[in-house]
This record gives sequence, C-alpha cells and structure tokens, in this order.
Amino acid sequence: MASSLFNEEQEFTVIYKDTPLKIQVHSFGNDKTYLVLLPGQAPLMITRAKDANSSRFWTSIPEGRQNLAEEIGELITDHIRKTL
Amino acid sequence: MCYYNGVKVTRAEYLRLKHLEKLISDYSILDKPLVEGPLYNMKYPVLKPITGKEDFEIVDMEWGFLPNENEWPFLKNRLEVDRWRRGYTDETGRWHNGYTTLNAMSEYLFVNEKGRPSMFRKAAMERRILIPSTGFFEWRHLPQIGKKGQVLKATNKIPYFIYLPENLNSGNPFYMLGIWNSWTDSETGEYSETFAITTTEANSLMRQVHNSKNRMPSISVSEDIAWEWLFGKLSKERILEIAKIQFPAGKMWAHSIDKKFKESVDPTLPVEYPDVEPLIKAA
Repeated sequence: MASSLFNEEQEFTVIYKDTPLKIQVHSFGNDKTYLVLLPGQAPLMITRAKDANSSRFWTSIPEGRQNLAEEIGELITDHIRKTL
Repeated sequence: MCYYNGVKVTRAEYLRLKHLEKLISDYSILDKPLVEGPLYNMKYPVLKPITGKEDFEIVDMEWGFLPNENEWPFLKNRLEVDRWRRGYTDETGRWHNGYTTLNAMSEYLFVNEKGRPSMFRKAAMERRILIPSTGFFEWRHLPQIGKKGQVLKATNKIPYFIYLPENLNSGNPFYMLGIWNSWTDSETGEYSETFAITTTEANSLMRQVHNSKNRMPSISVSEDIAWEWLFGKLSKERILEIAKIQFPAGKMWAHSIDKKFKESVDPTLPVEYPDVEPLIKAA
C-alpha cells in the first residue's frame, strides 16, 4: 500500500544563475516534490504549499532554505508551464 | 495557525508538510505496508510534541507500551519485557500469560478494570501522540457449522483491511490517537520510547468486522481534535471524551483480504470469500 506513496517519475533541467540544475520529480501520494541537485551544496527538496489565504507558494522541506526554494520554484513553474 | 518556513499556513497544511518531511527523510519506514504489533519487532513513526512548544517532531517508537522500570511490573531488562509481553513458563512449570499493551482502552486510561490507578494514567495526562496510518487489519469471526448442523467452537476467521476511502484515495494518512512512555533497560542502559494506541467502542462497521471484541482505534475526527490531543492542557474528562470519540462508520470502509496477507507483497488487495455476508454500509 505505502509503496505507491513514493514513485520516482522524471527528471528535467532548469537554468539558475547561468548554471544548469538537474531536478528530479518525486510523488508521495498526491504530493509532488522536486529534488534540486545543486553543485557543491546539499540537495534541496521543495514543494508547493498553500498559505493561510490559500495562495500557493514554494517551500523547502525541511524548513530553512525558503529563499532558494522560492527562486528555483519559480523556474520549475516556468518549466512546467512551457511543457504543458 | 502555524508558520512553515516563515509563511503562515493552516494547521492542516502544517501537518501535511511535516509529514512530508518524514516521508522524505525516512520513507523506507512508511514504505512497509504492514506493521505487525504482536511480533514486537518494528518501530513506527509517530508525531510527538516537543516539550514546551506547540510543535512536534516525527520519531520512531516501539509499539507496545512499557511502564517505567520502577513501576509494576518492574521490568528490569529485555528478557523480562519479552516474558511479560509473550508469557512464559517459570521454574516450577507454571505458565504465566502474556500482557498486551499494544492498545490502551480509553475507558481504563486513568482507572483500570480492577478499580486501581491505571499504568497509562501519567502518559494520558502528559504524553499523548498521533500515529499516522493508511489503514489497519482486523479479523472477522464467522460461525462454522459441523457435519451434523451444530455450531462449532472454532470460528472461520476472515481478515479485513479497514481504511478511510477519502484519505486512501488522496494518499494522505489519517491519525490514530496514542500515548507513550520511556523505558530504560537497567542492565544495558538501552533507552526506548514505547507507545499504545488508544481504543474505543466499535462503530457499526467495526462491530461487523472486529466482531470478537467490538473495539476500534481512537481516530482523530478533525485537525482541531488532533491538535488538542497533542498540545492541549486537558482535564481527565476531556482526555477521556476525545479518546472515546468514535470515528463515523459512514466515512470508513473495509474489504476482505487474503488469509495469508502477512506474507503478501500487497496485503491490502481485496479477496472475496463465497458464503461470507457482505458488510452493511453505514448511511
């Protein structure tokens, strides 16, 4: 049952500050998360969340790398829009 | 309201993100489709409040509540724990039954069935947790008829998987209520955190499935109740009230599964048995 919670789906690349970053998409049930592979840094896991006003925002999991999550999250949003 | 990464989010969203954290950091634990209590061989992730904060961490605990080593039954080491849980034969050949603390009956959280202070009372007041789950398993006992038409003593046991369709379809867990306690092996110094799931009277669905005991786990019916159970400064009366809440049968469902489900890759797969009365759905 729980094995369906974790399915590695796909990979794509975004350009962040002139550097190509590999992004892996992971699904936990209905929750989609994005693993960002950063050269020389610990990988960053980000996801879309809803704030108290039901507006969507990008956040890092675990907490602590919010700015990076927002910057790279926007690039992921652009990539998804382009590939739709 | 709570804050995640400095952004104001609802309690439900906070719980979802925290749970996601755990799945990411240690998804192999939740990847196990079946946690079998009576074998006492697995730890299980639970939501445990951080002392002094309205926040929690997700930690692995041993399922099977152990009282403090200086309280009855004064368990000093793992051998004594094992004997207490599973039962044993003493030097004179006398058998001592095992004592199960996988569950804590909500009715006996403070005063036990003999009218004495319960071993769970301090944990119920001070150490309450939530146990995420995607479903659980119980046996339905059906009468067997002998060749002469008589009802046999042995029953036909059919296993069932019980779940909340809304949660299962969305891939989100639901939360059972529990209590925890720490125990230290006085010989090796091994420190363990152990828990019991609180139980309540079965609802109309569970009365059909778990018909030998008519019990079911206490399940959080809302995020506010989950929050209150974790962080509330509650009176005994309120603790009992919450632990006794019966999750509505109409939001639950169950299907029969393979009798060898414990050995199955996916123990939740539906299996139909001829001559077994279908369950009656609550309105």
